[in-house]
Amino acid sequence: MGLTPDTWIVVMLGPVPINATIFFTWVVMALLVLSALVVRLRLSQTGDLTAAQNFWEALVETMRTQIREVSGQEPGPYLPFVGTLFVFIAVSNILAVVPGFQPPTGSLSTTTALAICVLIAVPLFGLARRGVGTYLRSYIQPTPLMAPFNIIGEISRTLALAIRLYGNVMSGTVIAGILISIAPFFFPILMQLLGLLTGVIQAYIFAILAMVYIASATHEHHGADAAKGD
Amino acid sequence: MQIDWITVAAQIANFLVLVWLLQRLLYRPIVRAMRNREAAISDRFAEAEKREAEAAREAETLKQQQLGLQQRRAAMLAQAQQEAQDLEQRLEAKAHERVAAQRAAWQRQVDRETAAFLVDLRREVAGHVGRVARRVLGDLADVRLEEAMADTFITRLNGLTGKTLDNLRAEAEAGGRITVTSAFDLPDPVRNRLRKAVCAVLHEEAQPDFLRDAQIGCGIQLKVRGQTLHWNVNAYLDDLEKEIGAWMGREDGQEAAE
Repeated sequence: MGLTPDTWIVVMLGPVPINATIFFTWVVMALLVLSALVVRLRLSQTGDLTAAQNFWEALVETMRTQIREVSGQEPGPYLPFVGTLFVFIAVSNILAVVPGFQPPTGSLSTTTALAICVLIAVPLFGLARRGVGTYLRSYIQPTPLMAPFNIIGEISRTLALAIRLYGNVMSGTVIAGILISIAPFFFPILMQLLGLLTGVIQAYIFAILAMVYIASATHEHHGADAAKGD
Repeated sequence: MQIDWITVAAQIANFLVLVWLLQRLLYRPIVRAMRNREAAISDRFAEAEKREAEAAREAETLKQQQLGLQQRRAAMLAQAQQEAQDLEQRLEAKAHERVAAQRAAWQRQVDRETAAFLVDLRREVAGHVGRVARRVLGDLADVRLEEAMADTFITRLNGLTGKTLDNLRAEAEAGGRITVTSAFDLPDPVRNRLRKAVCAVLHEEAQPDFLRDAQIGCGIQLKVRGQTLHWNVNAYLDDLEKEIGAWMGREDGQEAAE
């Protein structure tokens, strides 16, 4: 058992090796897209909803509410990015209970990729909302001398975001493997159930922190507070 | 712990693709559906509020109409009651008038019958009194009624004084016809005595005619033209008639009271 699924080559697409991280990412993507297609095909505009539509509407509305509360802005522009972060991480972590499934979020490459996405998305949202000059001036606040520290803070919090998610998911998987070798009956089940909870919580934390960073970039006053808090 | 940068790049690409797919397939349609549904619900709420307002207005209108109907009904009822009361009073007054008229007619009928009865009674009583008196006088005192009446009449004629006597004498001396009327036939001796008394009191050459008239009752009447002197039992019969009339009046009053 390795610490990362990056080293597990699941299939070869010609000369290109597909490791478990990418493969199970595709599995998660396929499940999500399939579910979205099912909802889309049977989408009801009236009050007669299917169970899937009902579930997704409740989830989307909850995410919109959270985004609105955190950012104090309309959730429309941020929902696709932040919502996909949450849904992808949550589904990946929940599927960890399926035997043989390696959660992509247990790979530092995946969490790094997501953190890099956040790292890029934050200034993009800030620039789109506040304009280039206003956004770049926030890096030299309160004085130009703080510019390096602001940039370091931006990178370090992104790194912390990646390491936090990777550490939690990977540790859960590792602990489950260790417990199976020590106490193969019952106890691992409890740990798996606990893993479900922590997996959803990690997804929530990741998405909320991403939203906080984006909000700090798109909102001047809140940005200063959020940076201090992080 | 290691980072496979190729995997990182692939995962970034995967994530961006997933964002794009979910945005197209999930978020946008679902948000649009929710907005449409919210709009539909808002429309329904607005429609419901509009209908509620219309219903409230109609309810108010109906309430006003009902109130108006109740007021008209009350007014019509009061008018009907007043008309019924007036009609009752008119009918009652008419009934009273009819009863009063019937009562008056009945009273007149009773009075006529009473008067007729009294006339009959008077006649019968007079005849009966005459017969009884005649028998009593004949049986007890061996005196004829005619003679006794003649004596009484002669006594009154002799006792006449004043204006009555003067008027009788004046008429007799003027040649007026002198009639002596009785309810029954007078015997000749009695006639002679009466003739003598008339001649002595009124005129020496007086020739009275003796007539019989049952209507005058039991007694004797002297008439010289317009002047009359009579003695009979009519005075007694008048008293008797008054008493009987009074008695019958009391009886009628009691019957009416009962």
